[in-house]
This record gives sequence, structure tokens and C-alpha cells, in this order.
Amino acid sequence: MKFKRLKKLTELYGISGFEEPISEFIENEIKNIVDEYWKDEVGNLIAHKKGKKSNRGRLMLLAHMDEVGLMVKKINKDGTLAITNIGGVDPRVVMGKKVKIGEELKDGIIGYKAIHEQKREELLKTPKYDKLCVYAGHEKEDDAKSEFNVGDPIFFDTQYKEIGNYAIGKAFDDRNGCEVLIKIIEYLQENPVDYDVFFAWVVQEEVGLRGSGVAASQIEPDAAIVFEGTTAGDNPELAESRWAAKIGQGPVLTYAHRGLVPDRKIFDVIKEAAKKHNIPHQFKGRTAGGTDAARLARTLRGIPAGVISTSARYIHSPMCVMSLNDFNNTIKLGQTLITEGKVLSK
Amino acid sequence: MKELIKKLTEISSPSGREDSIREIIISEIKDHVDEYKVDNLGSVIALKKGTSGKKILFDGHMDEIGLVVTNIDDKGFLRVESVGGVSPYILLGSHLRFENDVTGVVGVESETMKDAGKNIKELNYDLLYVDIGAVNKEDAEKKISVGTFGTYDSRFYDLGKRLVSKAMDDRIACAIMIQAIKEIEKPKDDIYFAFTVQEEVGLVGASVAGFDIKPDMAIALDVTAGPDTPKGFKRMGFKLGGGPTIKIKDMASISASSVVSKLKSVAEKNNIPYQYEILIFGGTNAKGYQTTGAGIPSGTVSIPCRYVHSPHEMVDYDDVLNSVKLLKSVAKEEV
Amino acid sequence: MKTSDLLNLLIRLSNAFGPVGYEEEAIDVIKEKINPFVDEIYVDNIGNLIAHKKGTGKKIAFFTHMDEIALVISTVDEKGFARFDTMGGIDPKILISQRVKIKSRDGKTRTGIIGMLAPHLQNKETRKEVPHYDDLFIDVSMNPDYEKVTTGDLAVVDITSYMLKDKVIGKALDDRACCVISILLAEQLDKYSSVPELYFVFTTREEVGGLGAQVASQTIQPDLAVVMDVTQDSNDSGISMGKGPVLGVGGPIVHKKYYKNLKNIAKKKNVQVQYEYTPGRSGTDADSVQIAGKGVPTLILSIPQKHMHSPVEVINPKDIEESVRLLESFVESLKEGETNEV
Repeated sequence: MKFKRLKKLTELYGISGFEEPISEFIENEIKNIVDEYWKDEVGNLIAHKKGKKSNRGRLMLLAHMDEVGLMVKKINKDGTLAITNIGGVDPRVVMGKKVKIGEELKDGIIGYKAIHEQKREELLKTPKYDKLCVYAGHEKEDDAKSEFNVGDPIFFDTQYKEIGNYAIGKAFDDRNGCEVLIKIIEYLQENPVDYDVFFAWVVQEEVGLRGSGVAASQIEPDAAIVFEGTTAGDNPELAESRWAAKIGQGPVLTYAHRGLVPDRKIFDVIKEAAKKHNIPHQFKGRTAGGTDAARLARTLRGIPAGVISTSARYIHSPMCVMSLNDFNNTIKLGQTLITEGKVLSK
Repeated sequence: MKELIKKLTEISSPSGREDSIREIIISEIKDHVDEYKVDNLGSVIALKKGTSGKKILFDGHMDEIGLVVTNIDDKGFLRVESVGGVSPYILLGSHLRFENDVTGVVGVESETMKDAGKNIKELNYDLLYVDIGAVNKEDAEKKISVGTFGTYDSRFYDLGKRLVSKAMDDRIACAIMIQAIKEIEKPKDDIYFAFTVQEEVGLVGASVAGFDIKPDMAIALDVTAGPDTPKGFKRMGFKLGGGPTIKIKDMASISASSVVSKLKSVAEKNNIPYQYEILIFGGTNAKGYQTTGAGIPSGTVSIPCRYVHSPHEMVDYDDVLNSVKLLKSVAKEEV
Repeated sequence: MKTSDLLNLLIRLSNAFGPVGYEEEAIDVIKEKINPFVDEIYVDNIGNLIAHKKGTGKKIAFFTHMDEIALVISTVDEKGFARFDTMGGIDPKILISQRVKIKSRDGKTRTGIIGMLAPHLQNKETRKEVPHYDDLFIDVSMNPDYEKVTTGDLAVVDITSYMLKDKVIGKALDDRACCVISILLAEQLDKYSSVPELYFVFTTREEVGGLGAQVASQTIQPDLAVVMDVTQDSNDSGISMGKGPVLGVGGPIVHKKYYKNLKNIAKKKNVQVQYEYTPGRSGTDADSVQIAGKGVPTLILSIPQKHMHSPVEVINPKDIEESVRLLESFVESLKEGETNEV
């Protein structure tokens, strides 16, 4: 196993609004190697590594802790749980899956009518969430109510596995970014820099970039780098010209995305650093989807940011694939940028 | 003023790549303002000092809609995606100009006649490509790379009373503000002029431009629709040449009633024609100011414009001149 | 406040004319009623009415919105047919065959009718369709001075609030019913010798995306915000009128510890409550309140309502009284500094 902590991070259960297990885990990992850290009113975890010199600027590194998932909407008469999605979850990815329910992580499954019971037309039609439910072993409403409540979170339940240079698992978006930040803190222990570096593991990205502005308002950084997990799309059913990224080709750099054209100078600094240090990299081939950089630009006096992503196939589902080489290179690129310090001196 | 409008609209400078338009704006205003700065995101904010102790801010966005190269194929054709709202229908058949002055034309895929009909009907970016005259990928990559931004390539036309160009949205406001900056003398209030970035991708610059200034009032200048065309939108009654419009609402914001009545009274006092505007779609930077800090009473003055977000946006020159007059008249009063 | 006074206030507020961004009439009523119980009262830059009661310790803010959905005249032809746009979400079906009250920019009130072509003049196809805003118009030609109706004039459905058995019917009970909760709560809390720092925020612009609440939350930065709005009385969710306040639960917005406190206090005080799951967006001011500035712990309390966003919204006043009773005890518990489970 190359990335034991990444395994732990991705296997933790933490949909938007239920990020405590992730922040607790990260807190334990970093508490002895940062100068200060705190958790804010909405659940963001923020840490600070002081620079060797004061007044050399404040850089913020950001990753989001939350993953997409489901929630109990209602407890049905037959003891099953009606569900709705939290963040973008395609109903087609949840059928025939095991899930964990509630903060106590009780077991459940999401099934669907047997193929025998379906008409031909239904077989290839995407069911709405109204037609899906979680079965957790109850046959009666009251039994289910004794164990579950409306509003309980429902999590994908997938084990992380490394196969050669690839990892499969859930929540690569964006636990991989969470791990990159920890790796950078560890790197800073050995390779301190002059300026202040703040680390923000934020909540609620998947439901509308809701945590990052709150974190940035406390940090008041001069610039930021967002580490994301992004979609790859490199599959045979999609024309190559429409791929967002290809796994194995290195970290993904973003020149434009929804709601923001990320800062040009920071983009150039990242690109040049990757080139100079021979770190493989690629440019995101689609502008769909936004990141917390879009929120940061609208916060305080406007915080310029760059976006570096590790791409994964099939994100926002219980089963994703990413390249460990890409991940390694993202870490390397992050560390390189920190040492260079040019993101701040724009 | 037509020369200024030509200069500002013909430059190619889309959202996130405002460097060239910023340079021009700074060179136009620097000798006529008390101070100016470029903020964190790249917006230019200039100040003409007044004496009342009050502050008013005028906003016009300097970016324009555009495109970005997302892929180069083996034959040297480009794929692009839009930066801001660019309709694939208007894009098809148009001429584009990229950074470094590479130009290209836009075509649509179709392998059969049946495809040809269907693809036009269901046109989208997946079906469009850009031909920059490259013979293969290698040739194309010498000229351009993924991540290069571009815009429509079109010229300014002076039709007399009516003017046509790309990027009237919102360089016409930049022109109005520059003209006002040159003509305003001894304003009552401190007047801030914010030439903001990235409006077209979601009101980015204006969300933060007022943060430190905390003006007592903010007025966004932007283009609106020009519904007085054959079978034009029947739910909107303003027209080209009817004067600048005082916006009541659009999809993004409802103007502060205090701003609406202020603009109305200034216009009436100075015999400046104006129209009330309800825009049933769209939005302006006013929304960005409304939610800044403790909130800024904000509204919008619009210049009616036909064919918005096309390579040929049309405004009425008298509306432009009257907008300058309106700004100057506002400057004479206290907020 | 006696129940009869509560009903009068509710009816008065429902009748007040207060489209999004033009809430002056509602402001006047709320100001008059809450004034005796607070230390200062002001309208902020964006148009929120804020009533502040000084206290010690935590800063608690109660958010209710006072704006109502409305129509705005977008253009009028020479014959007196006006086209319009909506402010907030309005179902075109409920507009057909309504009389509307138009407040013109000249300060005068005029009448309009949204008519429906008689069945005789319709064909099979058009009878099946609901006309969209594009096909609807307000007929103002019956006003002798109809040419004074202009672009920008505001209109609401002309209905006077009334009692139907023990329920109140009227427009704008979303969310003026909750404004009444805030006023009653201020009255109750005025009886205590010491209270936390209290803000009663009556927001503008909720119906167009919570801009007012964002600004107020940014400025006040409370230690806890309770956002109150109406929610659907529906068979599907099982939430119904008369069964007490509805607590928002789960999801990213609701603060978990404070939610538990509130729930426990309801139990302790025998306040019957209902529960509603809160997904990524609640569709209330809470969405912007929580993430304003440095972040605000937020709770959502709703009261059930039938026929939301119509002129015949229905509220059971009992739910208002029970909400006040619950929140009074809740504030009392906060005053004692109890943030742990009670």
C-alpha cells in the first residue's frame, strides 16, 4: 500500500454537512506539526504554518472534506427509507449498492425492482429518486422509526484498493486534496518557507461551494491554491476531444471553469513550475464544473486562486479510479510551488 | 466619442483575459482622475474626489464574452467552449480572433445530409469546431495551444445614429464612464469608477470591487435588450433611442427604490430622456454591490442594445450621449 | 399578546402591501408593534428592518422575511393592456381571473383584472393549456386614468385577509406569519430581567434569493441564527397545520448541537413539533445566513402552510403560539449559557 492515509481518508464517511469524522482525523494528523489550528462555526478545519519572516504574505491552500451522498427524506409505511441526494449524485449509480446510514453507520442497501418485473421500456429508463429507497431490514414504519430519523445522512460504502499504479475507491473528490494538504504540511516541517501558509479543509463544497468563503474570511489570504479531485472522462464512449482529462497524464491545470476564469498569473506560475521541474501535467479539456476558487474570487477583496486537480474516472459515484502517479505528481507540484513561493509574489 | 467606442469595442479581451482592455482604459483615464488602482482580481478602480464626504460608485464591466480552446485534434481542428454566454447558433459561421492574433472560422460536423439537418437543429458545442487554417496538429500547435482565449472578430460600424460592434456589452459603458471622467469637473461626492472583470462568467469583479470603498450608492452601467424589433419581446416596452433606462428589475436583482427615484429625479431635472426597464431575463453587476459588506443601495442604468452577445451589437448614439449626461448630472448632486 | 390581538396583527400584516424591495407598509406595522419591546430599530442599507434588544452574552438573531411575491408592470399599450413580470415564484394558474391592486409610481392605487378568454372563443387545444406570463396581461382599461399606469408599477392580488373557522387566510402569510412570531417573542422576552443580545431581523428580498438576509448576517454576525419561514402542509411529508412548529433537521445547513437543544427543549416544555429534512439548499434565508462572513450557526424553524405563494395561503395561529412558546424557552436556556445538551 503506497498511500495508507489516503485509504483511511477516502474510507471515512462524510457527506456535505457531516464532515466531522474527516476533520477529526485530519486534526489528529496535523495538530503537532502546525503552529495553530482551529475549527470554525460551520465546521471548516483551518491550520497555520508560520513563515520564517513576518509580513511576507499569506497563502491559503484549500481542499474540501465533503463527499456527495444521500439523505433520508421520509420513513415509508413499509419500513424502507425514502431518499434524496446531497450534492450531484446520478440515481443510476446508487442501485444495487451497500450503504451506511446515519452517524452511527448502520447498514443498508439500495435495490431496485427485479429485471423480471420490469417492462422493456423501464429497463433503460433512469428512475427518479422518488422510486428509490434504502432497505435496512425493517418491514414496518415504526420499526424503522425506532432506528432512523428524517435527515439522517446516507453514505456510499466502498473500500479503497490499490492495484499497481492505480487506486479505486470513493470520495477521491476531494479527499485526495485533503491528503495533498497534509503532505505539504509534512514537507514544510523539513523545508520551511518565509511566508505564512494557511491550510483550509472546508465543508460543503458539493452543495454550492459553501464552506470556502467562510474559511477565507477568517484567514484573509493574499492568494490561494485549490486542490481538487476532478472528473477525467477518458472513456471509449466519449470522443477524445470531449474528455476533461486523462488519468495518468499528471495533475490537471484549469484555465477556465464555471463561474470564474482563475487568475492568469497564478495559472502561469503553476504551469511554468510544472514545466521547469519536469512534472507531467495536463490542461483540463472542459470548462464545466466549478471549484471553491469561484467562491474565493467573490470573498472579501477578491482572492486570486489557482486550481490544481488530480483527475479520477467516474467521480460522484461509489466507484472511482485514479492514478497514483498523478497523485504523487500533484503532491510534488504542490510542494514545488510552496518552495518557489511565486504564487504569492504575483 | 465614436472613435473611443470603436477603439474600446474592437479590442479582443474576454473575461479573465482583460489585460489589453485594461491597458487602454488606464491610458484614457489616468490624466483625468485623482487616483486609480488595479485590484486583486484585475478591475481598474478610479477616483475623482469630491467635497461632500459621500461616495458614489459607477460600474461598467470591461470584459466581453469569448471562447477558450479546449482541444486540438490530429487534423489541426480546434474545439472550443464558451466563456460567458455564447450561443452556438451565433457562433457557427462566425470569424474568431484569439490571443496572438490567430484567427479562425467556425464549422459544424456532419457526416451525412441527415446529420447536417439534425445537427443544425440541435446545435451544441460538441458539434462545432474551429478551423484556423492549420494542415495538421503540429501545424496548429505552432500557432495556438489549449487554454488560449478568443473572441468574435468583427468591426465597428458607424451607421450614423446607430452604432454596431462586438462587445458593446459592456465597452459602451466603459466609453460612457471614460467620457464622463473627462468631462466631470468638481463633483459633489467622491466618484469611483470601477471597470470590472469577469462579469460575463458571473459578476465576479463587482462582487468585491466595493468592499473597501463602501460607497453610499452603486450604479451599474450595462447594456440591456433592444426589444423594439419585429416581433420583439412583447413584455418589454423600452426602445433604442428612448434614452438610457433606469432598471426596476431583472433576473438577478431588484434595484434599490432609493436609486431608482434618485436617477429619475436627476434625469427629469436635467431634461434627460429616460425609460423604466423591466428585463425579463439577465442580470447586472448591481447584484454584486447589493450584497457587499453591510449592503450597498444599488441599481442599474442600461443602454438599450439589440443583438446582445452577438458579433454585431447595436446601440443608439443619442442614448450613449444621454447616458454621459446622466452621469455628469448625478455627479453635480449629492447622493 | 391575547389571541385576538395576534389574529388582528396577522390579518393586518397579510393585508400590508410589500412586494420585494418595496416593503414600507409592512415595515410600518412591524415597527409599531415591536417598538415597545426593543432598544433600537432601524432599516439597513439593503432594506432589512432590524429590531435590536440589548442584553448580555450570546448574540441571537431571528430571521423572518417581510417581502411578498408580486407582479411588476413591464409595459402598457395605448388601450390599457399591461404586460408584467414576476417578483418571486408565482404559478400562472393562480393569476387567472384575479383582481389585482396596482400601486403606481405616482402614489395612487388602481385596479387591474387578469382576464381569461371565455370558453366560447377557445378551441380544444387552447383549453388544455395554461397560459404563460407571455400570454397573460393585466387589463387596466377600466381606470379612468389608466394611462398613468406605467412600467415599474407594482401589483399584488387584491384580497383581504380573513378567518375561516380557526385558520387565517390571506396573501403574504409567507412569511409575515413568522414575522408575528418574532414580534410575540420580543414581547415575551421583554418580561425577563436579563436576556441575550437579541436581533429580530425582518428581511427584504427573500423571495428573490436571500440577498437581504446575507447582508444582515454579514453585518450582525450572530452567534446563533434562527431562520423562520413557512413550509408546505403536505400529505407526502406528513407535515400538517396545527401540529406545531417544524424543525429543520439534517443536511449541511442546520447546526447539529443547537438542533438537539431545541428538540430537547420542545420535549421538556411539551411543545408538539414536527420534523423536516433539510437538503443542500433549504430554500430559505438560512442558505445565505449560515455562510455569511465568518459563518453563523443556524437553525431552521418553519410553520406549516397550505397553498403557499397564492392569495389564499392558510395558517393555523396555534402553530404561531407554539413556536413562540418553544423559542422563549430556547432563548432562556441560551441565556443560562447552556450550549450542551439539556
